[in-house]
Amino acid sequence: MNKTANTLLNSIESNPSNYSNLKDWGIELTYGGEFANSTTSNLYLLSLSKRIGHSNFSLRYTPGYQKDFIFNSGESIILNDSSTQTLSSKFIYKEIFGFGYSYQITDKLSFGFTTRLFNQEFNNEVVEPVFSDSLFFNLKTETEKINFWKTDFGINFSPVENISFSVASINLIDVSSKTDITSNSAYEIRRPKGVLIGAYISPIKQISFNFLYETTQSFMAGIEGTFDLPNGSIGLSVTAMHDKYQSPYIAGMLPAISYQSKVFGITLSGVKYFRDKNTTQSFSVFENEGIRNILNNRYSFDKVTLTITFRLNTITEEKAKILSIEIVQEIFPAFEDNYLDKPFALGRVVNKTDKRIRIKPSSKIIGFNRDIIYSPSVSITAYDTVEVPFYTIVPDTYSNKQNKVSYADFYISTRNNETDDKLQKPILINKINAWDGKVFHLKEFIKKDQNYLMKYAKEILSENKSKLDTIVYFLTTFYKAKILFNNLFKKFVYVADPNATSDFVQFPKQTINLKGGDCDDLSVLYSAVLESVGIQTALIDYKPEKGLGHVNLLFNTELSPRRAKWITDNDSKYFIRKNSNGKDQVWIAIETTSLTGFMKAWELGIEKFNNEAINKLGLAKGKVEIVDVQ
Amino acid sequence: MKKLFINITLLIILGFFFYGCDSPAPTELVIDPNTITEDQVDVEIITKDTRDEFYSNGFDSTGVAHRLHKFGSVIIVTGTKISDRKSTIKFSLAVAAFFDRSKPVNNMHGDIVGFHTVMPGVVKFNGIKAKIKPLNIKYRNGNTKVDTTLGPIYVVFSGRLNSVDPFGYNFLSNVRFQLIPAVGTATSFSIPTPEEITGKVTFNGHRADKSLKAVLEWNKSSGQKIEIILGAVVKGSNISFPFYRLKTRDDGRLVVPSQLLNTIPFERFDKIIFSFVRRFEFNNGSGSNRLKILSQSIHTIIIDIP
Repeated sequence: MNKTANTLLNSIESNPSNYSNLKDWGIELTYGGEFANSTTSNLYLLSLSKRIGHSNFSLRYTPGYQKDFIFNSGESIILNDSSTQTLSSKFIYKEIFGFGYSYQITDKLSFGFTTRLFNQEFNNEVVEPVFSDSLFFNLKTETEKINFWKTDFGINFSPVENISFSVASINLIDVSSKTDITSNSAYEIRRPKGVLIGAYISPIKQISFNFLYETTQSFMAGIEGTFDLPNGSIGLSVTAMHDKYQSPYIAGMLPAISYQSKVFGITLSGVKYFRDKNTTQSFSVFENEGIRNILNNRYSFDKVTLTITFRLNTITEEKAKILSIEIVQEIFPAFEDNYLDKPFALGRVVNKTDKRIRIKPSSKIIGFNRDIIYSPSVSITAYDTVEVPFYTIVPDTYSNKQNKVSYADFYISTRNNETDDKLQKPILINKINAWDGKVFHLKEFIKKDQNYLMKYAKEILSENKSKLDTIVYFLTTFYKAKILFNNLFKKFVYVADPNATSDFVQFPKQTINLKGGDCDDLSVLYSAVLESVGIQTALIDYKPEKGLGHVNLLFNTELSPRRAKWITDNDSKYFIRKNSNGKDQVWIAIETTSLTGFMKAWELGIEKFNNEAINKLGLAKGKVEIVDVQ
Repeated sequence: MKKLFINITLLIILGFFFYGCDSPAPTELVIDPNTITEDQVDVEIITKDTRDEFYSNGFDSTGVAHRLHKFGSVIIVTGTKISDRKSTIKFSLAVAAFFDRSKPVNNMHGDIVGFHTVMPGVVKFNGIKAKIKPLNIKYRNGNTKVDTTLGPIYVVFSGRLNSVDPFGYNFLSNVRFQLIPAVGTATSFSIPTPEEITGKVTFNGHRADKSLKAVLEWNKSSGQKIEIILGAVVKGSNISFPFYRLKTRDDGRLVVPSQLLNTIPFERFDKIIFSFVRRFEFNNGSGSNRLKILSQSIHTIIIDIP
């Protein structure tokens, strides 16, 4: 139902929150003509509306919302020549201007109010006798003006896209400029309080039905058909109107045709009243029933209006919309590289246009990212919905030692510097030492402090240079690992996690400083130290049946199987693995929690490895997993 | 593109403002019998010169202020009552005047101020022989007032208890008129009388703040219209001036237009007079034989100005 039709019902303004659909600036102009004895035309309405965030503001100037009545007042004067001059009256009712505000609470719910100023002018010709030496009449016009402000509130609710309901007050707040009773008060616009209830349903895209009911027992019912064009749509509607104060029962019909594009709309609508227009209008009926509406009353003439609407959106139209966001990974700041290739969130984004679009997703975690982090662009076909990954980058400087809940803002844009839609979700940012229990992610801790560890390891090896110089070259790696272990762990103690959980891992430097840690801390440290001097390592993940698991490590002695006897005669104390060139080499397992010495750690490490990984077929069954650090 | 739209919009708006705005066509309403708030009243000024005492001797309480000298021959029968705050007195009056329109009386400017009268014979009302009285008029001749007699007229008058003449004006009845000429055939006919009118005046407001409002009520009848004469009495004298003649529907109520009351110079007048006149009016004959017959009930109310 077009808005022009709405304004013709008794409430004058059917929906105080009706500006909610605007995106930015809106200008509307309605020009109309009345078919009285002579055809007159006028600018009915000029309105300006602006959306700011979820708020909509509107101003309207309504010079054409006017209804005039003239009648002989019943008083006549008889002049000297016995002719009679009849005195007349003219009553003028106007709506001057109004303003409105509405707020979009959610996509489905909005509320608002409108306030409008009305003016009533009562002009009565009177004769004023003048007593001087002679008595004569002076004809003059007495004018009384009464203004009133009217405010109404309304709510719109659209549970689904094709159904909406509205409720609005009628004449809820009514403030008049004059409260004293005057002789013209009987002719003021009647303003009974009431409620307006509206419903809209569109069973299919091309057809919609509208119904408006006033508790003052008037209603409008309409049907509208919409036909899509390449750059807009054409709508055809017809509305039947019943007004308690007009006859016949269906007092009139309101046909309308409109063309709407993204920035421009034009509507041609009309009102055809069915009453007999040849009968004279009785003053006694007017004084008994008055009028309740300036534009639509028992005295209104047939009219045609042309409405032109401009939607001057400086805000780009939303081409894509975020339907939902799912956080698929908590943020573990230690896992720096993890978020570069694995998204921390997945969004469902819909293309609202009839063309393929390319969106650029981005995000910013408040209190974590300093800048917006852009993820790879995604192409979406017309009206399609796709899953969009959001990646992030852990800042180098992040060192928060406490977990905290923050919010992540997610954006999608189809153009530079303009956001089509955004959504915010809460997200957990773990402390810097937090670990998710996956041995694979211990690699992220091993990579830390490499410069420090390189220097630290070289100092140890340098101190043992004379010993290393005497060793045959192909045993250098084995002995480097042995020297490093014995020097590193000689003053260490094993310390289990305070809460016996696997959610805290020390960085290598922290373990050196603390001189202790649990299996994951010590494995991380030893692996990091060996890697810093170029010794290849792998973590062994002993997965538990239940409870806590265990981790120790293998390192590559770089010995060929043939030379394994140089370090042990027992071929069960090592493990043959291919290096990156596909060449078999000897790896040995080290139990880093055995801090008594390298040889003991080796013995315990290989014993656990043989028992869990080989004898119990842990590797085959997936109960034991070897995770290469490089 | 956006600027283009804005410019087009502004041009259209300005165009409509300057070239396309008419005043809306008004709806014309017709006052009908069911109208209750709008009184239909015709107002006529009677006294043009409020210092001319000519009008003082002709107030309509007796029904003879009809400027008889301006008429053709006339017969007036009246049942009158006059109320003040103390009492109401009733009397009846019948007058017949026959003018010779070939004998005008002119002022110095040549304007006709009346016609001389003639006596065609004996006149009787309800069988009572009318007395002969002179018809005196006053008129201005330049700066001087002229008193003159136009001639004899026939008068039957009865005051309290039918004193003077035993003539009684009976309402909703007939007055029998007889003319017995000296030569020729006697003429007689009955003049019907209207329902007696009884008025009531209620004042609201006060003259000091120009808020005086008079609500007139009377026993309504099926007649077409009644006449109400609004006048005032000069302070400290018995001279009365009729100011306005109001004609309105005989519907029992009239709110006097406030301007008529509040503009009266109350420093010169201390009483207001309302005369309610319900009248039957007939015309008989034409040309020099034209005869006007008025039969009327009059109630005059004299009120101290509140």
